[in-house]
Amino acid sequence: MLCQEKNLTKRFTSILFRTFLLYVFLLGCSDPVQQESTPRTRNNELFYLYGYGVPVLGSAKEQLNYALSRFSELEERKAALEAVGKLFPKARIERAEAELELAYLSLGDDFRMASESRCRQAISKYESILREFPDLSPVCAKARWYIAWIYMDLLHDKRRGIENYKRVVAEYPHEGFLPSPRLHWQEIFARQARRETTFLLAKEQWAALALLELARNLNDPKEKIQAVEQLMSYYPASRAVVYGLMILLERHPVSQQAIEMAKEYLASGNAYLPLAVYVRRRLQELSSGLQNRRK
Amino acid sequence: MSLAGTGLPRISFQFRLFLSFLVLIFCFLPAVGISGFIQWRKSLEEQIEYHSLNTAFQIAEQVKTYLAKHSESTLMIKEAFEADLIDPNDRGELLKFFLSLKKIYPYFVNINYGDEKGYFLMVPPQRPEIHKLFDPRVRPWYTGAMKERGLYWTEVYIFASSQRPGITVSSPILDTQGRPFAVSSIDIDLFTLSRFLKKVKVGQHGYAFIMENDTGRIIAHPELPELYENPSEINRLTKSISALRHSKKEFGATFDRGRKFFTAYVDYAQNNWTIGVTLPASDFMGNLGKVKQASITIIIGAVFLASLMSYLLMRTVARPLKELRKGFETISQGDLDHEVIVRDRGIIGSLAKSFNRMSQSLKKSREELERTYRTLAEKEKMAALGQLTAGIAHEIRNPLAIMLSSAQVVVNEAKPAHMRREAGLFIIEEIKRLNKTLDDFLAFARPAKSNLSDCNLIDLLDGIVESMQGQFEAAGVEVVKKIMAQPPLCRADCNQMRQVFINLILNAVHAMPHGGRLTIRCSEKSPGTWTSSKRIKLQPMADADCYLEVAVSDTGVGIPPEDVDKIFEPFFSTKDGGTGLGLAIVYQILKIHQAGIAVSTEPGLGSTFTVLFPCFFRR
Repeated sequence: MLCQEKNLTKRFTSILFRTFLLYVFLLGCSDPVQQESTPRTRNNELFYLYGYGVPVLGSAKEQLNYALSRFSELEERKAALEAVGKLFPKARIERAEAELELAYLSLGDDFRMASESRCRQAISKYESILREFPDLSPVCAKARWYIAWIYMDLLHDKRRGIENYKRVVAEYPHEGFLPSPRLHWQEIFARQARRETTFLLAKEQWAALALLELARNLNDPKEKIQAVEQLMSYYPASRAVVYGLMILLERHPVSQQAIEMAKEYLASGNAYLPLAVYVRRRLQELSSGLQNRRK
Repeated sequence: MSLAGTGLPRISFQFRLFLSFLVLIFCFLPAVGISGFIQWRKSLEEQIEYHSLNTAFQIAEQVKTYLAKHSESTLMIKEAFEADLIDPNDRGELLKFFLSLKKIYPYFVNINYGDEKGYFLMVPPQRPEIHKLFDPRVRPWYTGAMKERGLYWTEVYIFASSQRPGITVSSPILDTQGRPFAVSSIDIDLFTLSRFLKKVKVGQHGYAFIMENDTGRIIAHPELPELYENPSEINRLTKSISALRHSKKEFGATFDRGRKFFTAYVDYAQNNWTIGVTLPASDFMGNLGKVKQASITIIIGAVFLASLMSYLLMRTVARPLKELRKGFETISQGDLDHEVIVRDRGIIGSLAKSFNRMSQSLKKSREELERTYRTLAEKEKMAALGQLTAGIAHEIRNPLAIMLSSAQVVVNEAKPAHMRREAGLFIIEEIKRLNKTLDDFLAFARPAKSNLSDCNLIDLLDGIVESMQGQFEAAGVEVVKKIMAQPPLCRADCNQMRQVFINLILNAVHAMPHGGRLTIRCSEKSPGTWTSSKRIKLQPMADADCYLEVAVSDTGVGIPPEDVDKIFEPFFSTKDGGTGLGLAIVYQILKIHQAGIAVSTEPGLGSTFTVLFPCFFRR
């Protein structure tokens, strides 16, 4: 009897000890507590340029989007843009886009404060883009337009400016770009996932913008009207039309042709309504002025 | 091995002690561990609530400060214009002023100026292609400020320059007549606000966010651009805030696809925003899990160690008790020399010492008792021997005296021949009597071994009565038999039974010297007939099937009451010439047969000797 009790106690102790060992064993075998991990960047590899480490991404498009969207510092952005061409030399479209951006950045942080040498440097870069990527019309259209703009607005070389704007109109009548439409920002972000280089999703045309600038800068009133007429004829949906009309309506004296053109624009379905208000108001002013003069 | 009636196994004291410890350990330790863990968890949740709400409040304060800088600067620009410190027509001066402002506040995303003629100035500049198509008069910050005629905060919209979402604070600039002619504004890029939120540390994976109440849109979030690739996350955040608002709580747990989150929020009334803080429960549940595992490990370890300690303690407590028990068992088996050795200084040691003293005392008492018993037995033996010797001497001396005197007559030739002949006959008679006395004595002292067989006592009685018919007639005794027809068989030695009945019948005859009636009754009795009574001198065996009662009654002189208890003693006789062994032999034979005998007597009226034989159902 005593022996049986002893055995029972021993068995119990043995079971207890084995249970403890089993628990320790299972504890050792079990996974550690799952920690959430933040998603890592796609590639840890860095490409160093001018002292900046540029992450190497999977494709030229990604690399370009990264360079276009992530930086507030000018030099770092330049490094990121140059990395596109160096990492993906065969991706011509992305490289051209990066080159366009680099040419613009050569004007400095604020183009309004750019020196003449910087402007010339920028023009030179745009011209080299025109030479290097003649087959990429959208790129060339932008480059040509920018050359015209620098001549006109920054260097105040009206002749060359007009000359280059005219070339834009003549050579790239259909190349467009994405201006800044007032879109619901959630849609923008939903779209960002598939956003590529912006000019491929054009809504405005460089030629329309060039015509607007011609209307703004040409001295001859007839040429101005012709430019706006051309704008209305070829790019009726462009927002540039309304700006062109406003330029014409602000001039003194306002030609009757311009008034007619404005009325036609307002009557058309392409009127850009937020600004059409001002056109309509101007027309009313002109109408009331004319009546006063008649009186 | 089981407790009587309960079916439970019998468990030793030490095992019960061990089980008691175990029950305490298994109940107490886990209970302490679990309650500690629950308290810790509750405290942790309170800390999280405090931390989350505190973070949300702090963020709200920082956002307020951050936005206040923008609104103050906007008003400052407006005042600079209105105080004629800047000429709005001098575009160069305007640009320089804005550039210097941007240098002072580099975190201002865009500083804008737009007038009623559509002129627009922005620092840093827009892209030219955008600028050419840009008219401030259609922008929300302009229209809003013009409408409000005061400081105006836009809703979230997309900046034309950067294509990024943001808000703008704007203020109309008034001319000397109080008419607004331009609007100054400062943009706040939500990415910048989101970057600020990204710097706010909320647990391991928690973060702060800002939600626009009117639209329910998340307008600032540490992962804002990527957030809109993950609509389920937006959904979760809006739902969490909505659920908390619904339950009128500022902090609470929400679940999303099986995951638990803690969310807290504060209202930022100025812009009708909600500033929220959310963190996955797994952040601290991970730690909680670690604590849980550690607690379980500690509890199991503690249980194991405590069980081991209990086992050792139980052994320590139980060992002296076991030694004590072993000592008890040894002593109970008669070994009073055994000494219980217990190495315990406590109560059990004292108990062992007391027990040893008791066993020593018991040993002495037993020895004394044995001595006394031996002495007593010796004395009793001597007394019995003396009584026997006296009886024998008495029984032998009387015949010897008669034989001596008769022998003297025989050898005296002077005596007449007939006298000598009579004396010779006396001698022969006494020798016969002496011989019979010795036979009886031998029968009493050395009873013959019983030869048990089925014995019909009725037949036996009939035979005895028939053979003694002559003696009855000579003594003038009338015999009456009341015997049952079919008596049960008894297991008995017939010869010894014959001796019993002859003795009883002869005693009855001798008790009636002037004749009388001898009645022999024989009947069957059921068990339990004989109860305790003074008449019963010998109790029969108790567990027989039935009993055969044989009563021998006489109408003789009876037995004096003082002699009733002595009649079965050897050598006690009230008759002249009796050996006093007859009833002693009867008593002895009945005892051998596990039969009983009772005596009832009335002096002068007669006596009845009743014998009760155990019988079994085998008729």
